[in-house]
Amino acid sequence: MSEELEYYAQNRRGVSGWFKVRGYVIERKLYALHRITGILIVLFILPHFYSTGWHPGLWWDALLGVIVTFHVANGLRLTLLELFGIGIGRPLLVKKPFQRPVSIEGKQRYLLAISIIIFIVLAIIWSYYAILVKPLMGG
Amino acid sequence: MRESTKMLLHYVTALIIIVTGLIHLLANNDPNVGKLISSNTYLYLGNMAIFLAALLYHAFNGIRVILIELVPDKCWTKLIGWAILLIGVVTYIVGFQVLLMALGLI
Repeated sequence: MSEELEYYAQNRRGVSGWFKVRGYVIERKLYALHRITGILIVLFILPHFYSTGWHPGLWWDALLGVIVTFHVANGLRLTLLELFGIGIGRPLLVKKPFQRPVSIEGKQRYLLAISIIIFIVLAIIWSYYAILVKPLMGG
Repeated sequence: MRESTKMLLHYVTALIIIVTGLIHLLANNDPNVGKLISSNTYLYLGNMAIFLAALLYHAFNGIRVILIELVPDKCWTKLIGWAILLIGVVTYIVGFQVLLMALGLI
């Protein structure tokens, strides 16, 4: 194994490696965000278990909505791609440096756009409910 | 359990969370449909029991994947797997007990 490969296999960058997104494709940024939102959701659900009615409150509830809806929308994209293999195309040998892998082109990018639209719509609905509707209902 | 089976369960629980989580949100926030769900204690409890199990598996498996990626070591991977399983089972028992108490069943 070459030195560079060994470096990545040992994952010496650790968590800081998630934030190495500059110059990478958008999927890499979504990967980092998916992990961060996942950890934030775990930080919310643990106190929510022990005190069932606990919620962070008005604006924090809206932020929680943004975090959850992002994780759900991106998670659906990942499920379609990784579990069902939708949109990734047939594997081809990449001829560097001009050819981009088929897995980050084509239909997969439509799925990405759809997941972002789903995220925006769901986040708006959740935030609208948390900020405007719930306080009126005495929540 | 094979790593591929664990990850298959990760995706399956994600889909279960979307359905049961939506029911949970409706039951606690919607005055019309939510009332139908929350008025039936056993329907609500059944949904919450499935939601809790799926959520805990998904959450703790996510943490496990992050931790074993941070330290790629065979012994560490095994240790983390068992520790996460133990914490997950204990959290499910405590969470289910809190749920029963909140519903006034114990």
